[in-house]
Amino acid sequence: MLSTLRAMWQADGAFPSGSFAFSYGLEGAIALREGMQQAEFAQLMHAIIRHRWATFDRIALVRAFRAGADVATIAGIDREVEASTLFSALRRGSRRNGASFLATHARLGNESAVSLRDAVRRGECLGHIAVMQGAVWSTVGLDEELVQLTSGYAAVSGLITAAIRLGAIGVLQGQTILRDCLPLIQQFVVQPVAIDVEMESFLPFLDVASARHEQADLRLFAN
Amino acid sequence: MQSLPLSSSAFDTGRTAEAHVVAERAGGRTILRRQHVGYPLHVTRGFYLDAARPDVLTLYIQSASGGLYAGDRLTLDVDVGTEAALHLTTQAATVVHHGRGGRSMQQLRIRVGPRAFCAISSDPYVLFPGANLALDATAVVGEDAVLLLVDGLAVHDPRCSGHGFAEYVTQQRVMRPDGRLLLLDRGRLAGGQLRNGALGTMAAAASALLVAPRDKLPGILSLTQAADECGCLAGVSEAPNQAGLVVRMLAPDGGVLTRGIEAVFQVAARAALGVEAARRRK
Repeated sequence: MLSTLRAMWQADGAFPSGSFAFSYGLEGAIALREGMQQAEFAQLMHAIIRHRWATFDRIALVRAFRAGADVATIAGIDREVEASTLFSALRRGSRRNGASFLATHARLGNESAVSLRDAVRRGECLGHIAVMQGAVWSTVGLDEELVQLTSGYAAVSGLITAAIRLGAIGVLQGQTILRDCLPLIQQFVVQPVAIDVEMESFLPFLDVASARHEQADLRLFAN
Repeated sequence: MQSLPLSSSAFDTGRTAEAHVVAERAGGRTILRRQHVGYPLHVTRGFYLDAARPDVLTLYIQSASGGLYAGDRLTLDVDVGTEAALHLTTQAATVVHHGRGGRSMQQLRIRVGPRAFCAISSDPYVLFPGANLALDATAVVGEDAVLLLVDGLAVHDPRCSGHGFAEYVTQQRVMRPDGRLLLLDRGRLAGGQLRNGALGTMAAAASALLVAPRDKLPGILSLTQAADECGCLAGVSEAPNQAGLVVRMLAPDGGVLTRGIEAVFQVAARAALGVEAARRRK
């Protein structure tokens, strides 16, 4: 029961992990598709879960979780995430979030977070959020399934919060979309992550949106 | 009891073909030093289309059989030597036919030598209903060399069957000669998911990786504008590991996407070669 409570603690939007500023390029997407309807937004959320979170972030997360305290292996996963995150706004946002996440856990006394924060400072690790979450969450009593559920929920919840703040959807619309995303997260989490599975992501629309957003003069979110 | 089909009536399991092209600099221009091209691939004779850069060799590669069929496994090996300049392109889009439960695979292996220029800008793959295509490109690029690598997809349903392609899988890996990974672009899309947000409201998409030293890169804005002016919706960003630039383009159809790809080639070539490249006739 305690592990479930810890998962809720980590997925809670009130936990100061910096995730509130991460939107996967959503702000750019909303700007590109002005007047986006709720159904279209829900479709985009499903696409993010299916084509980014499940096949990329989740794989990095699980591989880092399995690496545990092996900093060299974590650094290798981190470099692969860096090379595979082609768009700079997403790269920077992911690293910035990872740094905030490590800082919070380090201040809470988590030794793994302290060690990884030092590795980032030395340039040995880059600190991408999914990798850092996997590594640190392996030390707070979550199992592999809970780690994925926490990551999936936090990602979707963060996106919904971002969309509400941007005025793209209302609070109740957001909760409807969030509720409808939960079975999709579960659908992926019940599929075991094979040892040799590769990270992959195919979301050209969000890539374009993120790049154009990066060039925009005024933006609310980090990416 | 079910009888086995005659061997002559079994499904064709696809063709395996390899092509190897070696371009080198000799006598002030780039020449095709060696080529081995197996059916169904065909490489045209070399063209020198750029008056201001007469050293640039342009080759057109085409399929003599009308596209990619179920089970095809085509491998193209491109080697661009020191200070050579090669543009490899296609004469038209490549049709990818129904996969019949299998997959068509196209592998590309590229080596770009010191101070060389290599642009491989194919027209989009046109995915027919049931098409199942895997693209796999690996490039090794010298620190001071330039590589432009473009591929894309468009969908077409000539009989309005209402069926989409089966799957599109792409992997592009760029490394330095010492084995350091610069960037890795890996993704897949099932036909049924085409309209589910991955491409927004568009039906065609392309990616361009431009690996080059900083002084041979165009501006982000100029690349974006060039593609946008063709009717595409483009996003350009700095690539990881200071490799260069990455471009994603979305378009309503393959024709618009083809024009966007040509525009990206023009802007990239201008920055890398220092001259305006001539239009490649197709």
